[in-house]
Amino acid sequence: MRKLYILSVLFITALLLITACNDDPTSIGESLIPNSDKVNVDSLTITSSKASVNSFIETIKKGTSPRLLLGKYKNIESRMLVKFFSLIPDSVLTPLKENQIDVVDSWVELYPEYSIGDSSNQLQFSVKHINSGWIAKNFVWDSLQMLNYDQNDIASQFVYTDSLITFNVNTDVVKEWLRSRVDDSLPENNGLLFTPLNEGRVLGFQSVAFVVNDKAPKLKIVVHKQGAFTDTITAIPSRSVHVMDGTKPEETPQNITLQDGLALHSKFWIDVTKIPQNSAVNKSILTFNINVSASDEGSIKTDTLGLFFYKDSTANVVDSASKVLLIREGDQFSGDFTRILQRWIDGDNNQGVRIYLTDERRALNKVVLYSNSASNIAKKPKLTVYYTEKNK
Amino acid sequence: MMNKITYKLLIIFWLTFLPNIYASGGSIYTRYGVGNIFYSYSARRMGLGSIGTSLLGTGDLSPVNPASWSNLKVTRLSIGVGYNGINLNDGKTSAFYSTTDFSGFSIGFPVDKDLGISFVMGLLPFSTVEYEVDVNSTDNNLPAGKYTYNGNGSINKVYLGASYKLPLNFQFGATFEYYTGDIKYSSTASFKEFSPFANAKYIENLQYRGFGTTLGLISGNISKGLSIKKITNLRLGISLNLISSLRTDSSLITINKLGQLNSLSTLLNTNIPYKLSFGASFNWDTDYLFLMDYIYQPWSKYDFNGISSNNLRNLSVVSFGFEYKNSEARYTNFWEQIKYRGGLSFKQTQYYINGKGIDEYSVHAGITAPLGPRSNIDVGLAYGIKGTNDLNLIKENFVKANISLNFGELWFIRQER
Repeated sequence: MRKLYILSVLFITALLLITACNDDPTSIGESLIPNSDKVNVDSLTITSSKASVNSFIETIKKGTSPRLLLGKYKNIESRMLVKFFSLIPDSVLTPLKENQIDVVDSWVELYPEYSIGDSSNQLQFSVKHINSGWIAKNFVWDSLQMLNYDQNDIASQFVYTDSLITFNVNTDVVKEWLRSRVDDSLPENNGLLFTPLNEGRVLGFQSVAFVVNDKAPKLKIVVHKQGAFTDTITAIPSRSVHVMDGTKPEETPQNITLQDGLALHSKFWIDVTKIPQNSAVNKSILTFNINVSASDEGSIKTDTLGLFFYKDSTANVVDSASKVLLIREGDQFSGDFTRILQRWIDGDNNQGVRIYLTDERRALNKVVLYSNSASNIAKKPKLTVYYTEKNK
Repeated sequence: MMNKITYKLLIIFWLTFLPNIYASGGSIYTRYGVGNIFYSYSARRMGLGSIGTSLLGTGDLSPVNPASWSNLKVTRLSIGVGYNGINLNDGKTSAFYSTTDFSGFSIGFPVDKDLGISFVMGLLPFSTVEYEVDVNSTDNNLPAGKYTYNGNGSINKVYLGASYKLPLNFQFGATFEYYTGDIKYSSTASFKEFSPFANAKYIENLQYRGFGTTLGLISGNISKGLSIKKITNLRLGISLNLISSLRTDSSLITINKLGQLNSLSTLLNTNIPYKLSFGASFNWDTDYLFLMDYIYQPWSKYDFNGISSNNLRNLSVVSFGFEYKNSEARYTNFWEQIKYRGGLSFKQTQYYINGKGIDEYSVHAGITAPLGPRSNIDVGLAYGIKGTNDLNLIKENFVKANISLNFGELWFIRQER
């Protein structure tokens, strides 16, 4: 009896094992599949002719920007604020407390890593001592009105090379900064305000938010104790920000104009009603062509466009989790648009997308794209879609 | 005693929780209607090639004709598992698929043997859908990919029934049944791994709910009216299965790069036609049992959401079976107690594809071996051919196996005081 039970279990186990010997699915029976079950992958290229462009300036804070911009170029001016800080060795700190330290020399080194404008045009700027406190994260152009700073320019003896700008800084100001480290009765070091003086050039320098390769701005301080030593202290930025002001550049309906710095964004809409409802997008690529002659870019070109899905284009509200990136290749930006397109097909209202330059905090490029109204059809924005549709 | 109970419990556990595993691929004909319909539920009935409409249940519980329960002598539990191996051939290529399924369980309690009152309940499969077809994409403008059409699911029924002995030794039985099931039809466009193209899938999901009943009648022994001495226990049987309109929740699910999107579901009705079974059986010379059955189910009357199917026709099944048991077998001799059976079946299936009806021919065999005084194990086998390669149709060669365990226990024995 027990044997029979065991045999039963073994028989059932054998059935399981035999069941494992299945062939892979094949196409046998394909012609018997009902037409209503069948799906098909199709493709579509959309170049909408409907006018779709609306640019606007977006307020963005540059406190966390990896780059500081300084200069005036065409429609934009940029100023920067920098506070320098250094660790002071005890050998200097002790005599400093006893007021035995003199600042013999002090100068600032700026290493440009970005530029836009005429390279033969030297950037001229003033440097003023800031008296009041400021917070980089929230600082905008209008904040300058509340800023208390000396009117006299404390910079002199500018030296320009391709990779370095140096200028001397008033040693009295620097000495007061050092003394304020050991004497609380002295005003706090609030840094320097840099203001461009001439037109035609903007330079970018590393900010405190992103320091690499030892190319951050530096303040060099030569200190001297009578009969003891002469030493050089290097201070680097502990706080920095740049602020911009400007006007919208000239635009035409045939173009989509985007600009860094000002944060000139644009609303873009494309008609996708030709794509069947209930279809599933396998792949979609959105391509913009750059109007090279109308664009104006600096030493580092913009390499990526960002797009956001519009929840409400009238109120300018986007879905911040919906970001899509279009990558530059030659004179085009293109990228996978599936996530946004599928939402429209699935029923979300198509209110278009917001386009912007992803380097808007760290450059001053103006990128002009051909719009839906471009006269050259080949240059219009193009949406290539591969989608699966089920027969009804 | 404890060991026997342990073994029984283990086997019941093993069979009850046996999943429908390794199922991928099967008969594309199951796409139509609600799939393949189960007409017999036990290894014994499979071995006979028949459903045994006129058989009074002895060693097994058959829900085919509830009138058969009137002969229940002990509390009985029947449970089984079935194997279905199918070789598909379209005239150019062939493929083999197999599944192992739980084939249901029933438990019956005799209440009054004199009046033939028994109560029986159980869970049984009603229909099954299982197929998968892969078609490679031939569009040169697209990366390598394929279309996959897949159907799977089943409808099951839970039933509760009773039997009663009528005058003139007629037996009557009836069940109350609840049908429930879930069948999915999916269509997928897929691409190779790491392809920049996202897969897309559509799933049509149908959930069925409804009620039904089976009424059965088995005649008394009418062999007495015949002058043939060797023919005994001649009975006729009839059963009618009626199913109400099944409420069907139909929804379309789309799976794309963003995830799953459920469309609004719709409540529809699915009308499954009635099933009428006739049968006759008799014993020859005590040791031999012969039976024949005829089943009719007008699938042309099937409709889904009020729309009938052009691919379904009326179903007819004719089957013959026989069984041998040694009526003088000694209980001490295991081999003498084994019963042997076989049968033939011709089925005009419900499928009508490409203007041609799909027919099925099969041969059956089986045995019953004792597990104890009132318990036994049944093994049933069937081999058959279904369909044809004409008109781009599929020819199927199938092998089925079923093992059923039937436990009989004397429960609820009233002690004479």
